[in-house]
Amino acid sequence: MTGIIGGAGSKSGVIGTTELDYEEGTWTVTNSSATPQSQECIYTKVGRLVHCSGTFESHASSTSAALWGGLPFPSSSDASQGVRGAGGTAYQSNTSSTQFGVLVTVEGTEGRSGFYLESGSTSITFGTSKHAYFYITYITDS
Amino acid sequence: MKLDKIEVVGEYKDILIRELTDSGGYHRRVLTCGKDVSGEVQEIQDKAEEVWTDEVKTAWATFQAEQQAKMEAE
Repeated sequence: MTGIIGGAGSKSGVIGTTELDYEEGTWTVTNSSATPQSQECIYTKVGRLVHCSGTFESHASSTSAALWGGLPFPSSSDASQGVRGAGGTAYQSNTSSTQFGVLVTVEGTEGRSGFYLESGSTSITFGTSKHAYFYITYITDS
Repeated sequence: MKLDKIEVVGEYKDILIRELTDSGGYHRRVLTCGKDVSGEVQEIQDKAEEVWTDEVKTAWATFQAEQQAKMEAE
């Protein structure tokens, strides 16, 4: 791949005949019930592939809703894609479970920017002042 | 942060917001059809009013219902 730096954090390039865009930056985890009190989240986008990682500390006095939001690009609307994306937590201090999966979903108020933290098939809500370190990789249409 | 770019993508007219941070990097967020944009700058409010037509809102609601049914079936 060859590329050109086109501005702050962005490049473009070509592999074969496919033109790829590249961008990196920050994004903000949202929660309709309890906005995290602190966080640091970054993304890298190459073509349609988006990789996010970060950490957050949940709200100091309110329990979170299970559905989180704020992904920097909308997940794909192509139903044939099946799973849009997934990820995991490297560490969290919410419950006795030490690791969660992450499921990128299309649901509710977060639209195509939503994701769940999952323990088995159960979506996890976060109590107050809990920490998570996580990563998510998903496909976007944009 | 300073508004850098507004993009409208896809059948459901997601509005992609790119902002410039104080350090010169990018910050991204997405406004999905029907989101409350009353706290956004006028340029974003105008774009939402332009692209989130009743037809788009209906299509988005239908799509969400289909996805919900699919997830519950899996």
